[in-house]
Amino acid sequence: MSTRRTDRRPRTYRSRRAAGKLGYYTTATALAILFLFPLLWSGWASVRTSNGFGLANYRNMVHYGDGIGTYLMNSVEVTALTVAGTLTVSLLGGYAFGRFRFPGKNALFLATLAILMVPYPTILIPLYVLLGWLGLQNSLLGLAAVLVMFQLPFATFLMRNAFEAVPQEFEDSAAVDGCGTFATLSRVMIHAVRPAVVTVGLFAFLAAWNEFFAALILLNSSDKFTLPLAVVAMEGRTFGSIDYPTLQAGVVFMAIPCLMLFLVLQRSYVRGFMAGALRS
Amino acid sequence: MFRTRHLRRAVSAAMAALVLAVTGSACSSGGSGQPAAGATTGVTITMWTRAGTQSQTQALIDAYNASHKNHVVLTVYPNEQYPAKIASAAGAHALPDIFTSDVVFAPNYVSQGLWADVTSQFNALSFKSDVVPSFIRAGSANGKVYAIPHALDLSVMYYNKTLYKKAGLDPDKPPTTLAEYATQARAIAKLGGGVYGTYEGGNCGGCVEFTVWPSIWADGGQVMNAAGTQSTIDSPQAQAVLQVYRGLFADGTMAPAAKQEDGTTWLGALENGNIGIAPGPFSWYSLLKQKGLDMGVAPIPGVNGGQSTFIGGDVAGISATSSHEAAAWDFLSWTLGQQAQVDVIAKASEMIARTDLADNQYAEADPNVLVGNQVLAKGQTPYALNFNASYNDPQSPWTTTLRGAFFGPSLTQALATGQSAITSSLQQQ
Repeated sequence: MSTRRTDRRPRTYRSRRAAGKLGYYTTATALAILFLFPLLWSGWASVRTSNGFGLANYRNMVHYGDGIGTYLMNSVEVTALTVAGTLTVSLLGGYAFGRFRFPGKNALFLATLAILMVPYPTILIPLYVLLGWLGLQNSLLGLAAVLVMFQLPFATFLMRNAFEAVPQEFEDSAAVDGCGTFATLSRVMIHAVRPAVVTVGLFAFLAAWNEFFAALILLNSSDKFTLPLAVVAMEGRTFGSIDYPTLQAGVVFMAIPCLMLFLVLQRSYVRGFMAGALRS
Repeated sequence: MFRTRHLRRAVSAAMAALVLAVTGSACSSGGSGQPAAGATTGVTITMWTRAGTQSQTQALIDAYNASHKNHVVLTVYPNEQYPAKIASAAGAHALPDIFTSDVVFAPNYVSQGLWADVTSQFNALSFKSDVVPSFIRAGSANGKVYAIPHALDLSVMYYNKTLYKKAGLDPDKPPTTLAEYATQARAIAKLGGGVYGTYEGGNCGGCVEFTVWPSIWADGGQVMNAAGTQSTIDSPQAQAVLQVYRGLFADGTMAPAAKQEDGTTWLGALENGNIGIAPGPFSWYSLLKQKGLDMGVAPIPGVNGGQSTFIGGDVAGISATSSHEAAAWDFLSWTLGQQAQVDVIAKASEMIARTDLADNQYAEADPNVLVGNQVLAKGQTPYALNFNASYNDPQSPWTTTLRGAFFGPSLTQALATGQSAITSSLQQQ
């Protein structure tokens, strides 16, 4: 469609446009290569074996330790709990911060952001002890609870901005239609902030799926290990005899769900970042 | 990479501080030599180890579980983060029944009281005097034993017999002095075409201490005093040994990558089959053999002959907080027995932990393994409370010292300044 229209334009314009397009694609390709290279290299290294190419490294990976199935299920469980927990709390919290006036609102919001003010690994041991009191040591639920907490500052901040950007008329008309506060949120507002919900969910997913350090400190037995712990342990032998191929197979295995989810949710993801950035 | 390394260091420092604060009360409880607690059979014993020595640990556990009523369950942590995990678990009183540790960290854990006292149980073993003494020392304090050898490794010379033949050297005559090592390496380097004489971890404190210190010991020198508080690296022996390596770097006998080798591609360099002779860990032997390389193993010599080795690897001890002490000891003492040492460890071409079993049937089948077993009795395991920060850490004063000794303007000056820097690091506690 556009080609036919450009055909009628003057030659110089067309060539300038072509040059612009070329520049765009060159830059985009270069950037794509730059960002994709490590992943592609991992993929390539993961199918290389001592005698050519094959899936032997993947076989090693699948049978590593308790079997990749255990680690996968643990990762799925932690990730699902984290995403659900983060969404629930940040949606309610963001709604309250964004649409209500109550005493101590700003102080409370600042307290939420306080979690960002210390390097999080430094508070892992106190958290570990705390989880012990709650009987949640070495449990996936405990790990998910900690991960939700680490997600909250960013998630609440994003949801607050998203809710603040929704025009007051939405809420008013919902009230006219007889909605209470909670019904307004669940029937009207949630649809208005959907891009932010997707962004927060995706962020929580990526963080929980890839979390290494908290899992290392909070989990104590290999039947509870998540994928990142298992994959990092795959590398190890003494003094530089690192098992790179198996490690790379693990890396590729872990990256696939993230890539797929990102592709599916890509549009909402980008829109989520814009939420609250532009206001009328 | 850069950022995570810093983060990791900050974290370990924070954790170490916390652990010291939190474990204060737990420290003394296990060390009083109480009678062993708990049942000895039908118990599930939890055990932690690091990925580096996992295969050996797993083999031992499988053999034990198959023949005993107790059941040992192993959890493996990544190498780099294992000390942080131990520290955090100790702080929260959540250590497993048994945990292993790199032998160089052992004095630290002993001093923090993380392991239970097993002196009387250990002394009851009929073969106690044949268990690698340097390891027992690392796991002991004030005459009491807290940890025993678990998975050993030691440093040897690997020489590529195929390249030796090509260069006209006798593949059955490995060097008996460090000077001969240099001569043979230079002869191989003359082959050219991507072939180099030798290799070393030129930017890796751990690699160099593991492979170069044995030469200093073989010449009768020491790198530290016995208490591990005073560096003696500025000695004539160390100077002579490092001078040899300095020369190999200077004239290109050393493969170019060796200058920046931080340990991660060390094995890969040897596996390529383009290196004539190089020191390395014995644990690589089976890996090199798998690659189809015709490798000979020789002891690491001193400048004037003699031989020695750095005995490294892991020790294992029973947590002071364990409630299955008796069952845990049943497993640990079994791992040192003849059956486990020969039929599990020696069979897998790994290093045994007892000097009296050097001539076992598997060693007799492979002269290279026998060389490793025999040098075991002559080896040393250095002891220092602040070992890691002084030597193994990429920012350690030892790493600075060896860089200066290999590549700096003056070897003597590098050793002189290095000695005082290492000493002050050793005394920081």
